Amino acid sequence: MCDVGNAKIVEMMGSSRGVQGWFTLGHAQVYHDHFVVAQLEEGIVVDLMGQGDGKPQVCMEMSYESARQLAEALLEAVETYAPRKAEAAVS
Amino acid sequence: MTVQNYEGLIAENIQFPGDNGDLIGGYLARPLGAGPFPGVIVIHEIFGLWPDIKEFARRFATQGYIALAPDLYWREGYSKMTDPSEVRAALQAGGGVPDARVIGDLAGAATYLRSLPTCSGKTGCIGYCAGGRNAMLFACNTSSLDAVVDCYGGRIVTDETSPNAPVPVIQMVKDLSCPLLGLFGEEDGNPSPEHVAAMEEELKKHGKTYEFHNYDGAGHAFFHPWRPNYRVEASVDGWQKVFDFFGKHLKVEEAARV
Repeated sequence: MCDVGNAKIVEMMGSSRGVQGWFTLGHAQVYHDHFVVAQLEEGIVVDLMGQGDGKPQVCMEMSYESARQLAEALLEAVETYAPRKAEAAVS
Repeated sequence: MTVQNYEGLIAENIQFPGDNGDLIGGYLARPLGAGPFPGVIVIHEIFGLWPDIKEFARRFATQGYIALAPDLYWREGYSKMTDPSEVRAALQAGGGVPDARVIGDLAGAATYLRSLPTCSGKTGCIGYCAGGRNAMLFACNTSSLDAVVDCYGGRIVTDETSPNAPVPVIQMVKDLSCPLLGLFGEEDGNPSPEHVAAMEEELKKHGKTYEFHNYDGAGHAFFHPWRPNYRVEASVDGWQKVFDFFGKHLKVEEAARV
């Protein structure tokens, strides 16, 4: 915190919907920082960036527990469905 | 916290020469009286020059100081962004600024303040969060300050370096040029109580004039009333300590002019 350049960058393939409608995802930034809106002192931030000017189109400030549960839910969904799609593609 | 001959204030966006003579933006809040008034540089936190820091600048003006809050991200255009979260995202993507440029910009701010006709020539500097670090950075690289206040500046005590910050500020403490007031929260992680103790040790080692206060039950950014970090006891006492400190070091000629 009070630090710069510590984000983990995830290249994204997909779409998201922000205040200006749907956009094609470019990448996501995941990091630990102070919050600017959420009424918690600090936590996990995810910025979803488009493919344009590098500004976040969607920004999430999450408590550590919310971030953990979201991450677990994402992993569970991926592990449940991604192999089936891969198998279906092969067969 | 009384102000004699207070007549009102004006607060406005300005531009002034910063590092390399580049014109950069800032927010100037000054009393309307004839002065002379001391100058105070008010350094924003990592998210940039937002209304909270401008409010702090106006508070200094109500207490008889000419306050200039420089926009240290002026060249990056972060001030044109519509939300602090955009600045945070840009910084996390690697958009920091070089220490050398920060020092140059703050030197420009000090020169600008002293050039104002109602300025007494005495100049202080205060910074919050990352601005606390930048206040220390500047105070260790200038002879133009009469007092400096570090409000919970992080990353001062570190071994890490980067192209933007090639020398840790703790290694510059030997060159601190003016009295220092440090205000910290016991529950802060950066600077932690251990960081504060290490800084104090370095100040003692080099015989510097300083005054530290560590607040129980407070963490980072306890001065900011719009955040959950706000701690009313620490903030109220901290503001008083800031005005006492600046009063002692910047308003020494006040009795003669009133």
